[in-house]
Amino acid sequence: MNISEKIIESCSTNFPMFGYEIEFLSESCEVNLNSTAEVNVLIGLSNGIKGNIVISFNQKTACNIISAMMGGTVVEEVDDMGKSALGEMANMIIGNAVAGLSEDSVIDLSPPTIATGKNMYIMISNIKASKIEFQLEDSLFFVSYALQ
Amino acid sequence: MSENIVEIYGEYFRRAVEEISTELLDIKLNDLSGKEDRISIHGKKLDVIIGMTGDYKGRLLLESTEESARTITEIMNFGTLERESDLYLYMGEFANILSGRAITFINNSNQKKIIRLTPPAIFSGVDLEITTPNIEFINLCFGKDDLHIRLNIGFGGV
Repeated sequence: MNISEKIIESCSTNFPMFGYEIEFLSESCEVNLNSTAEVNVLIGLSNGIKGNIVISFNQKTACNIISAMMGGTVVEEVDDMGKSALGEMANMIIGNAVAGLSEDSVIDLSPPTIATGKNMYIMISNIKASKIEFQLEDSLFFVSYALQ
Repeated sequence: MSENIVEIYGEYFRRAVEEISTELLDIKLNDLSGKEDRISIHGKKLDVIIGMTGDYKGRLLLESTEESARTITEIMNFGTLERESDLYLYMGEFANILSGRAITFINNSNQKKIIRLTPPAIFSGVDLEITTPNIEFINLCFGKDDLHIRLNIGFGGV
């Protein structure tokens, strides 16, 4: 199973635990790993595989995910508690996705970093990247990765 | 994570900035840590994140204004950048060189503990806010004339 299939499987397994149905829509190749989304969670990989994975969504989707992770509490903004929840979600999804990808060594994950803003541009890497698009309830959700 | 580790490892980053700025940029940056009122990182920012993994997990956040980033990258490039995207790539490389030097100091100082780096990720924006939850961090600030950079070095992680 390659990393894209593992990411799709991981998202499909983890989101229903929070009461969300997620549907894989498409995967596209990008010239570099970039994002213009309002909320991005970045996790770096090293050791067995070196690269970066970024999970991107809009503010509303981020609030919905935080709300689901906090047992249905109404969430209207991504505060520190919410960022911690998003980091934990990214750890779960990416941790599951990369587990067992390298036969020779364990893949190390960096702590998740959350970047928010409205006029943001991110260039994670200038090598070819893949962007996986999901439908999460009524909004879109992206997982992008670039591996060296 | 002991706060002491953050302080000790922060010193290695301080030494790395002093060495790399002299060797690579031929500029002796003044250490303005604790004198944040003397540095100005406002408006359009350019931030680089490099993750640290291995025996200690953490990350380096290198913050600068777009103007400071342009000064650094044009020195590295020996002239004006050809493409706008070069600004991001050169700053990523600058942070990579800097943290590579610091991590070499750390790994050499304690050969029982190994820290590895993830590739750099570069963020830019006007209202950019970058957070790594659950880490203990130290801020180091450096500057000379209009060139200002801030390093936020954190260890711990979720």
